[in-house]
Amino acid sequence: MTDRPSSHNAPNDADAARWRRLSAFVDGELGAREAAETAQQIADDPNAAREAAQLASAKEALGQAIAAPALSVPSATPGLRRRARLRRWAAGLGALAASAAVAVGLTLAPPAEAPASPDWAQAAAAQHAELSRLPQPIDAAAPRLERTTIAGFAPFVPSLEAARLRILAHIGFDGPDGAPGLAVHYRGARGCRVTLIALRDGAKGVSEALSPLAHAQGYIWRVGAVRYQLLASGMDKRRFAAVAQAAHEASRLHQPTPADTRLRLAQARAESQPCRV
Amino acid sequence: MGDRRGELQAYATRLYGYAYALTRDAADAEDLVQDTFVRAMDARRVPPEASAFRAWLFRILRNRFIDLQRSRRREETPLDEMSDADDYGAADRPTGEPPVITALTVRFGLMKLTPRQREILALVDVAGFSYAEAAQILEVPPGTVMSRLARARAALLDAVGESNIIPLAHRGRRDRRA
Repeated sequence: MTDRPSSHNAPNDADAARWRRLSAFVDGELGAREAAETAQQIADDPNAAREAAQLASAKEALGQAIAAPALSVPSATPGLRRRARLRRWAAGLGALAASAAVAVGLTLAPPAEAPASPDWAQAAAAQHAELSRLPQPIDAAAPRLERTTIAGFAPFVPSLEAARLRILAHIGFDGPDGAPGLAVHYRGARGCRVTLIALRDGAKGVSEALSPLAHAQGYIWRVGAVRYQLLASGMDKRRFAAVAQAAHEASRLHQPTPADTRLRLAQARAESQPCRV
Repeated sequence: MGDRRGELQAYATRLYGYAYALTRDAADAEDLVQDTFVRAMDARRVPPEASAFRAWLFRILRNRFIDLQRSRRREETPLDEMSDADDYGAADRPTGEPPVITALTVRFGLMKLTPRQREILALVDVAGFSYAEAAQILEVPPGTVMSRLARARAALLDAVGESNIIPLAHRGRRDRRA
């Protein structure tokens, strides 16, 4: 044991004050007179010298203890985009008025996709809603699921780790007409909730290309006979589009996320605000 | 706006160090810094003077962390609900043997401290703020920074001393002594 008095056992205001002064001395925060006195004390007293050395070592080590990753300031944030939009609108107000009738006509026109939600979409939305209720936080050891089998149905499940979304849970379910389905729920550190639904229902009429859903924040595509849907709640649109592209790409190629996609995902995340949940 | 980006970028490393000390988690720290960037970029007005800008920036991060703590309600007392009395249980100066001090051992030691102790160490030793600047960020008198810091350092040295982490370079020496 050290011969220094312990403040636990023998509270000593003078010792505590001396320690405070040594600490401030190491930071160069003492006035000239106090600094000179402390320097003299360090020269005269080996205990003070040892403590000052410890303080200086701890300060230096702390300065090196936390290595920062490469962080970049987003070039466009939702607020900046909104303000830029407002400026553009203000500048083009006259032109906007002239085309208002056309715009109203477009707004009132029915969307290209039927708004009625089909059975497969309702089933997916129900799974997403249920899985989204699972509590935070994510277990750091959450399974990295790439392929799972539910009643003989083994769709490829992409890892979205590159988008900083981890698999929290997965659940098998019976889709419309008994088609086997698998719902995989991903969760982000900022509360983002994303669910991938794979349904082996033949995926008739579904394109292999990634397409946005008309009735929810989601995307749909087909791989063979499997209908994939990716659903999110309150996620920034651009980020979600990047995540969907990555999931689409991975489900078709069955390959780890390529470097350019990782970069796109990181950039989209950096420029997005946390999900509204 | 390009200027603001540059100014923010210059603080990225220091913000991260502060965020990591507060959260003790690399991903959370990164999120906190990104949130801070987004908020700072979106702000309509920013303090024109450099030191006020810096204090404003670190306060954004601090407030976001407090929000996060409130929403998660983990085992720790939230930063804004702690008083200095919460740190008085700790020694005013280290009580054990001189510990092995390296970047690794102090990082582990730091993780054992209270949020308030981690915060003051992060501001002064990691982010490199003076007492006056740290006081401005925390909105406390500089004397409070001085005493909090001294107690935090005592707690850190005790935590490092209690740690069973022995860097390889020191292991042989300690084993021979035993």
